[in-house]
Amino acid sequence: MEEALLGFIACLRGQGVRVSTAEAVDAARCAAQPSILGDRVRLHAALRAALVTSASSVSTFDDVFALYFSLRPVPVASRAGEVAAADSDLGGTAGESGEMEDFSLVDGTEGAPPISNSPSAESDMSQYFDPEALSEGYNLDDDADIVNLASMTDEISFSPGGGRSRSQGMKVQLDVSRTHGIDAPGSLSPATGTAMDLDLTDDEEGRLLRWLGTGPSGGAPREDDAMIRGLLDRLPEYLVEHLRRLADLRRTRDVVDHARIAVLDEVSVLERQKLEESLRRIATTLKGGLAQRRKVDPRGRVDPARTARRSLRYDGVPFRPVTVARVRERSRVVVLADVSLSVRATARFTLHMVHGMQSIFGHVRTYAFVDTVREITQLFAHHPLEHALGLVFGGDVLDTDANSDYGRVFEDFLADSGSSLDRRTSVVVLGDGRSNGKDPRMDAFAEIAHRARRVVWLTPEPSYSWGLGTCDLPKYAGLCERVEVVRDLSALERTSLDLALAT
Amino acid sequence: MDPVFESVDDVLTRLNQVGYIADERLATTVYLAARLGRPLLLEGPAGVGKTDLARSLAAVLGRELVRLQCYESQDESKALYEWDYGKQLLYTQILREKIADLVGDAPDLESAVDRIADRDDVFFSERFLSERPLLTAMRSPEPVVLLIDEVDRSDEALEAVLLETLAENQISIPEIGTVVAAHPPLVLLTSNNTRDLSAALKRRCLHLFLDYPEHERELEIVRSKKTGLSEAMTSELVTVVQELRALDLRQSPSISETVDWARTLAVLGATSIDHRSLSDTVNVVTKFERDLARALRFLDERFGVRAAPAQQPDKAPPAAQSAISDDTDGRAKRDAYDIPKRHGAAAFFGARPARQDSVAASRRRPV
Repeated sequence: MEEALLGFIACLRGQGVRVSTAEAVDAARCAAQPSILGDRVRLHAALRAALVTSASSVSTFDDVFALYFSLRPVPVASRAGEVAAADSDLGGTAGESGEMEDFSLVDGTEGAPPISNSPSAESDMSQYFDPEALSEGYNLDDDADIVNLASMTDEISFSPGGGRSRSQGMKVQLDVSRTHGIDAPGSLSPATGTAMDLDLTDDEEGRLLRWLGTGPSGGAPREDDAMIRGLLDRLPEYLVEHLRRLADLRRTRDVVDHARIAVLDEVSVLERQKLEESLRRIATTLKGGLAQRRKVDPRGRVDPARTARRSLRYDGVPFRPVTVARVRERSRVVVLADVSLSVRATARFTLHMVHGMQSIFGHVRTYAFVDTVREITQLFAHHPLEHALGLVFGGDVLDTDANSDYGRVFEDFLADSGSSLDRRTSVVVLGDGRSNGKDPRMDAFAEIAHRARRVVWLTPEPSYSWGLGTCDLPKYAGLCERVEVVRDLSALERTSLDLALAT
Repeated sequence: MDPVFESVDDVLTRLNQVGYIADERLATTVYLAARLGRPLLLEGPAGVGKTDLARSLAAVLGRELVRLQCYESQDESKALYEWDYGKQLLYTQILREKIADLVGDAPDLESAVDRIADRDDVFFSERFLSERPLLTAMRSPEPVVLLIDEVDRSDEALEAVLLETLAENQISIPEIGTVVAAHPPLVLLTSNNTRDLSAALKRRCLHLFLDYPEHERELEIVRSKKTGLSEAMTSELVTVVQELRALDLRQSPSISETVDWARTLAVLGATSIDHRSLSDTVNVVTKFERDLARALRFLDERFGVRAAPAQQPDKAPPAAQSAISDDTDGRAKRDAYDIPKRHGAAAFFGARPARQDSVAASRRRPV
């Protein structure tokens, strides 16, 4: 049992669940309690209680448990039925059970043609469509039957002799890697078929190749050998070239790191003054939580301990009660700034603001993002403002020409830095909330909003244009404490005054 | 020490007796926690019965429930113990003559101080210690159930203070020594997951993630609360609540709110679960204005009632309605810009062109 448990834990770790040795010992102790091992549900509960420490890994644990402790026999199909069985595997086990039910249903009817053993859901689905119309609609050539792109799944099926039933002939599932970046407006087919780890017999392979028209009659293909040999011969060359390219890349990046510092724009003294004034006002309104420490304050409450101590010199008569008050900590701010092309016009202003914030607020952590998120706090700390901006917009930190993806950014941020959010943190998001139709991941943002003290969203875009195009800001707005339209200094000033009045 | 529970089934039946409907997973975890003497960390959204579990366990085991409610900026003196300065001072005053006696015949100042120093521990003894929940639980002569509620609300500092207690069942008081629990309490911690708890704390606990129950279990829970609503109606109501949870609400209705809703309907004498009775009372389970608007819209759709457009504004706040409308593709808005001559003569002379209401409304600040 111990070995099985250790194997299970190794699987969990492989899936990215962090299990410490102490937890493994715990799990063993839990499993060893009476009446636990005999029951699958109980074992599941026991191991989960001991091993899973964060809610995010619950589902991973459940999946791994289901896989690891499933003692179902592997279905052994006959050779002929193997391909069909593999096909039905695409629909999962549900498909197989469906097949059985179908079978028992027609059991009584005598002489009826056997129900075709194509069980999976998509064939049921396709009966609602006229196959002729489908092939006409989607297939441009006459080989419609061979390459059936109109199939209801995302596999492409080849069938000899125009067999329409999915059980006949052979199916080859092609996993086509799609071009990256084209799937922007609501990815059409996110899930592909399960990739099958299926061994074809020699006979089947031969049939497949013969039918494809490439293979020699019988036997496995051999003509690739020359090509492969050629490749192997030249492998050292390729490796050398690859390494050289890597080295070049490293060198240029070094050069870039040191040399490429663009000075973008100068900020006048007056503007900076205004900016700092507004920020200071915001800083006082975004108050942090109560500090642990108490400070002597004439307006506070009586502190019995200190009063007692001080009045000892008057024989314990408290002439002067000591009053203390909790001070408010300086707010911790996490800034998430969109620096993509769509907000380029105001992003510069935004980052000026961020820079100002870092000098005024107690703890500011700044993240810039487009479709990935990077922390740039240190950048601002180490470089003067103009240089830092140059680095951010020069593409040295992250790819500024990508399409912004708020959903992914929030998710990544939560995974990487989620633990820095607590009741003292205010999150300030700067951006227009346009993630080009990608999943806005409301759950991730809701989690951020839930953990942080407050979320303030500053957008450069006036609210009437939110409805144009795909803007997720209306959705996000429901979770923010405030959403403000800020695109320049005067708007920031107005906002800071508003904030100060509101609190 | 005899085991607290005989078996998992024992947990199930005994919890059932006090009206806590548990499932197998919960019972197993509780059983393990009790058997191994481990604290049990319950995580999950508000209102799934975390605190109630502690209360029920206390009832089942016939133990006292000691509760530490955590909150922001709580310090350790509110959790462990505090020296009762006032009492110490009072005793010093009253015993002044006795102290004078004690040091009266001392030959010099030094020996007088020594004599008092010998009696130092009189003032830092248990007599002047005012216990707080954790110490109470440790020193209790009877075994207790200790509930540390909403531990995620507290600061990291307090969390660190808890570690010793949770791991060793003891509290170190510098002036006295270490108080070791005679009977290790059954400890339950609850968390709403507003922040990540420290790994050290998690390490010491068994974990249980509670979520909203399945239809059957929730129905059973509501039934066990004896709301006075008929069986069929309760079942229907639970279905509605489960559907509401599937909506994107800011705060999903909790189990206790389902019970409240059932009671409300029973008090109002509702005879069937229909659109009218539900939409009149849905504010029992929705705690935000936006949620209320969403729930009402959902109920309209569910019962196929088309609300007249004229009535729409008084059901939902107009500002929220326009800012968080579902019309995200903005087709209507774009079309509005296609009206010929929308920049009429008036526009040239500084007046604003006549707009539709929705456009004007969306200029308001959304939050």
